[in-house]
Amino acid sequence: MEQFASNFGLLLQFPVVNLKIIIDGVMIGALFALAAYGLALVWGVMNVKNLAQGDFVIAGGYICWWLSQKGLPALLGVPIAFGVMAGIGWVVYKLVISRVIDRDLFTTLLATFGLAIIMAQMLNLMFGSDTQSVDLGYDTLYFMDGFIDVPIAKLLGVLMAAVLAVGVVLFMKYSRMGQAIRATAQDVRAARVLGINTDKVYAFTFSLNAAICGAAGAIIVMVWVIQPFYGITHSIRAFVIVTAAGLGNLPGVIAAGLGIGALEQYGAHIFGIGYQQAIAVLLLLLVLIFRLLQQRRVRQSLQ
Amino acid sequence: MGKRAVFYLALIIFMIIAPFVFPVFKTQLATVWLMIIVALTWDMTGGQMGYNSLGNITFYGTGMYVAAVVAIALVYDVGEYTGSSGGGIYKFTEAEYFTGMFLGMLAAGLFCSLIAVIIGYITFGLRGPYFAIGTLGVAIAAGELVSNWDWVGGGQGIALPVYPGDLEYGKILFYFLFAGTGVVLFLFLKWLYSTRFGAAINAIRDDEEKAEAMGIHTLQYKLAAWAMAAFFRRRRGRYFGVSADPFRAAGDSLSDHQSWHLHGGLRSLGRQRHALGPDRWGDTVPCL
Repeated sequence: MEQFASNFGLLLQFPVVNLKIIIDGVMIGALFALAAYGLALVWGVMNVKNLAQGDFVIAGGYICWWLSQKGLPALLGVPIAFGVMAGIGWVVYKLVISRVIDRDLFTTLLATFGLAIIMAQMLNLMFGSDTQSVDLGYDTLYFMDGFIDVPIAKLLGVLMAAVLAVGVVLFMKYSRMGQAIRATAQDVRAARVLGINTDKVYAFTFSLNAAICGAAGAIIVMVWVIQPFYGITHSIRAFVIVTAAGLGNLPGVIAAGLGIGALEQYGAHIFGIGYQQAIAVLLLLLVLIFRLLQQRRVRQSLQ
Repeated sequence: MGKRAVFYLALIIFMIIAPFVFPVFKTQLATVWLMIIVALTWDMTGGQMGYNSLGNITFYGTGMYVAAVVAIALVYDVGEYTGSSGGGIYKFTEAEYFTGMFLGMLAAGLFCSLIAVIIGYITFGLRGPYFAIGTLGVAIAAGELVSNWDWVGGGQGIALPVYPGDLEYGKILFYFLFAGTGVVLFLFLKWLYSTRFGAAINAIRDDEEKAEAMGIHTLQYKLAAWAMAAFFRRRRGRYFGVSADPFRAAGDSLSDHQSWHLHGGLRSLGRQRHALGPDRWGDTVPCL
């Protein structure tokens, strides 16, 4: 307890520490927002709540890590992870998701939960259970007398996340497929009547989601660490962000992603790094309870 | 009726003779009963009431820990015990072992029912996917918090007291504890679902709004159902924790606690939906 209090006191004593924590949190939160955007996409278009979201992220991270072990430049790992995960996403859709998409809610949840466990175990068998990261070997920038350190690798990661996000948004807005996806999300039957092959749209949406996650994971391995069993926490983070932002609210997803990242860093600073995963999950409960109280005021439940 | 009676009789006979006919598979047979208990308790909320929880495994973990702590606390200081990871330093006499075991079982049951009421009060306002994910969040949060709590062994877990006496007899005892609970639970649920309570939770599943409009206090029914499920579930958790043959104890203390929770989750769900392959798949992994 005293430890927590003194950590908290440090924040008040040195306000510049707050700035550092927020900068750190926002940089990592940008990557959370990316995965959450993928989740919102699949949720909105296909009404599938993908619990394997975080494992796609981790899988993408391992692709990038494996390539850099083989001597390829790690930055190349981001587009490769994007491509490979798109393929894996397509296969997963054809094998699993297409069979459960018309079933009730719990079947899809269970199928993706099973998928998450299978993927985590496979990654564990293939790469071992150690935490891994890729060191890009770039310099670190210092501000405010060295209180704030910003590794260039992290800046680069945020930049790549931003480019990817803008690319996806433009794609959804202007390309033929993007329009078809939005039409399917609005009204499946009407889209079918107008000649859109919705099965193809679903397959494409799911593989696009996996690709976004894969790229996010490839960036995460460069700026942070990955481990086969971290996937479920990433899934939970994605759910927190989407639930807090509300479905189909893109600026909200970005804001919530950055906010969750910063809150997590604060929690890790005050309670210790060992609690970081727990804090990510407790934030989910807080968000759910908050939304619940909001709904209760109008005598509704969160559904 | 005749056919059904013969079927149940055959099952009972098989239950009684199984560990003697297949002595090598006692642990696995006990696991089968364990999963029957898990499936039945999950069915109370998930099947009969329509609330699909991914977090029932919280009660498994909580029950295991409460039971272990009670059993140890009767004899030793818990922090000291977990600090030495069991380590073979501490011995339990037969009397200490069995008192601890049964008191722990009772304590774990009551504590888990209490926890279920508290968690349920928070989460039962959630519906559909939010409930499933919220309960999953509770399970993971519990696992993470416990693995940071040194008093109960942190990420290492608790090495459980070793069964005093011949382990082969111990396995038979645990088999019958599981099997007995399974039979009692089955009969209890059969009776429960034939009462007004069963009708009420079915009504909640079919249409909660209408059930409420008909004057059923839905939250109370939901809490009661979940507390009962938790009571039986953690009892099973208790036994499993206690069946500490060295093999299992090793698996328990070595495996990362979070994966324990999740594997347990998979195990229970796989059993319930007959969807996820061989029963014992999830069982073997954490023990490795």
